[in-house]
Amino acid sequence: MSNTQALALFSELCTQPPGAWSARLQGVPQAVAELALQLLEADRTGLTQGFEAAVLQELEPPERLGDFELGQELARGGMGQVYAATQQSLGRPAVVKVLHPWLLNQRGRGLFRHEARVLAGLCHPAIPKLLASGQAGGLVWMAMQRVPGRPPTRLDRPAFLRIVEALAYAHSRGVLHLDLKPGNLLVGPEGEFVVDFGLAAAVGSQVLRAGTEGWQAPEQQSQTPCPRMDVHALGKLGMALLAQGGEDPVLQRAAHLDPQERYADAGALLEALGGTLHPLPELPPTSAAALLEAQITALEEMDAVPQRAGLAALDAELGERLNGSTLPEESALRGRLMALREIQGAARRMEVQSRHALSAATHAPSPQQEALAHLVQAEFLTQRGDTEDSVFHRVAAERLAAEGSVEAGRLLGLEGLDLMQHGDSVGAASKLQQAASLGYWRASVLLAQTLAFQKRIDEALEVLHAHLQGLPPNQHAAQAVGLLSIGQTLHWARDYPAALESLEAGLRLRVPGAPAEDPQEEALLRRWQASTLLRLSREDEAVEAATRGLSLARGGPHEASLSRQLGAALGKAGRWEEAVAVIEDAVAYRRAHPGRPWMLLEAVRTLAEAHIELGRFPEARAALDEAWALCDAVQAPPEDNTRRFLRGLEERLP
Amino acid sequence: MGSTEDYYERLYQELRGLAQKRVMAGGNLEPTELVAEVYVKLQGRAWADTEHFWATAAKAMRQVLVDRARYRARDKRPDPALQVTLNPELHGAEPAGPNALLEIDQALSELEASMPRAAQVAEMRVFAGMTHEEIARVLGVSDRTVKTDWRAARAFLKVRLQ
Repeated sequence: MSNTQALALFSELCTQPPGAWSARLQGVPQAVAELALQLLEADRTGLTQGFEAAVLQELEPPERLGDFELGQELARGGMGQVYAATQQSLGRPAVVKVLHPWLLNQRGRGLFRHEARVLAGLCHPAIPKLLASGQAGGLVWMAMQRVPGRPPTRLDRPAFLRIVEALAYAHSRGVLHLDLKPGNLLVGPEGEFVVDFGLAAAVGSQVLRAGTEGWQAPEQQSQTPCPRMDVHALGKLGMALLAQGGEDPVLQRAAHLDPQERYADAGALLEALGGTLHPLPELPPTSAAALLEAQITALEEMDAVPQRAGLAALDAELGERLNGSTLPEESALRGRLMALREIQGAARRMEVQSRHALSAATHAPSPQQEALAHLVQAEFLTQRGDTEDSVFHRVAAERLAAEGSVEAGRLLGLEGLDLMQHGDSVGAASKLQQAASLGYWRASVLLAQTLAFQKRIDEALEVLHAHLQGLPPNQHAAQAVGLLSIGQTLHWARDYPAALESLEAGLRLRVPGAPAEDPQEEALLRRWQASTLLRLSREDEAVEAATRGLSLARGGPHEASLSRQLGAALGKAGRWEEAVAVIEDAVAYRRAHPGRPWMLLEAVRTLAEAHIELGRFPEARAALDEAWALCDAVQAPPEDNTRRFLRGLEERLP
Repeated sequence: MGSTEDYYERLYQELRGLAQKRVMAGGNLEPTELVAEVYVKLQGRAWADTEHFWATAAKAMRQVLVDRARYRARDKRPDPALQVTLNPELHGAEPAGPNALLEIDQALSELEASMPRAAQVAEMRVFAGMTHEEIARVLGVSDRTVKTDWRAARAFLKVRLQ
């Protein structure tokens, strides 16, 4: 109770000057007053203690960083220290900025690298060039061109416009400054310079708090960085440094407290001030490579990078620069970029589960992970029936997978699956055997299915039992898949009670809610459970199993398969109206993903049956016609079960 | 109206962005994994709107992180693998270990009893890394209210975590 009162009291006292507190605390129970005071104290000291202590800590940099020999310390701030330096190999003057290591967690380091690359691509007379950057002994550093000059106390209008133009140029490339202040401007014989570009954005929000109040936009502490924040600081700078700047309505609007009232970026401000952005200087060809690198990093860190908007600008520019580029390093990079883009593009199209793998790979790419991501995608698309789309991913995976690796085995597995789809079960079995020998365990399961398909039931069961025995006890997913296949095989062998037993054993393995489990496996187990229950005339249970399976399969590659199964179960339970609705779903899905015509045929023939049961003969006629056409398309043998089933349906039509 | 799956699909990148803010890669809990676990927790439910979904996703993220921390804390050694960075305002730039997480969870539960909305604000900020504006939208209150709530929650957490 005292917590509640103390918190209420705290919120009230926050709005009052400290002088008024003691009067208000009169007569308040002691425990409440004490906690309220503690809260006020905590609020007053903020949460910066640890942070400040860290910032003030002495930092002893080495004498040399990379190619740069460090001289006198020029400045020290919240972000790190700045040293005069000399680039040894060229003897040219530089400044080296050393960032406090505690400002950079792992993600910060990634952002820093990204930022350094983007900065390397900036080429503007008012922005000192980035010469090099690196990490050493926990320190992160950047070396920049040393420019002569001092922070200005006054500026004339043309000089100010050149500064705004530098920002407009940076914004057009998606680079933000975020710590604009007089101290970060240098004016000297070579003109005006804006320094410390991008550092604030690189290290993120912790540092912004240590930045300079008075110039910063008010929302900067709480919001994602955006160009309007720089516009605010530019407005403030203009108002402070230009003669009569305080009365300029354009600058006042730029410095508006509400970001939405300001100009969208420095380019818009420049225009309002009557300036123009000069044509961009041409970048030397190698910079295109730097830009590409930046782009790749940005893509890899897509979710983390606040400058996502800048990507679009980079994209457009890259397109132009890369036209006709013949540098080998660029074409290699371009290949990687395209692969990443494709993954990103695919990620948008993709359903939930394969997205996980791809996304993980995109963010921590090694060839193996990328290969795996492509494989998952290829398998997913193959299972769903998007064969053409899956080819791209196979090619990509082939390129990336090491010879003799599990990934290579998985590729062979896919080829086996293809051959099986085309009725070449002998070829399939051989591919799958190779795949299994490379350690890809699913291949043994697929191999068993192929054997079962050839009616070699005993061999299939043998493979599966060997598979199960070879598994470590905690490999529940692999065990479940094994039991699923045994169930399927026994189902094909018409031993329904044994099939059901195996499937239910597989289902029992699944710990409810365990996050590592793949819902798709359970969906498949349910599909075969439903199918087997139907054979055993347990229709209601079959409906239940299929319903559960369908809820798991939504969005996954087995959705249509479960819809059809549920439709069949509902039909057998006499619920034909409901059946038609779910089967129509399945048909629509199969039409949208045409790579598995056999599955479409199954769905259509079930639909035809449902229509006949409901006496809807014209609809049944249309479905039957489609089914016959599909039979021809998949080259079903004349005495095939499906053809026989369809002939049976024909006889029931008036 | 929509199912978790609809929202999840539509908001996946944003969800992952949130998770990324919460979790530093380099441990065995990757943002992707966190998102996946959050998905499992939310699976099969229906949502009135995006706000409703977000608010619950924040709660689920807290549950997942705390469950993990609890699991890790069982063997008393500090676990470098679990590097969960909480809101930097609360913990400098240092990653919080499992015990810090559990303490924050406990303090939040205490706050819940006294000032439920402030606890909710803190939950969304600390565990889902949402901004004031996002929280205001989700809770249907003004930014100002969120700021006031956060101020109280922050002070309370700090007192309890000292």
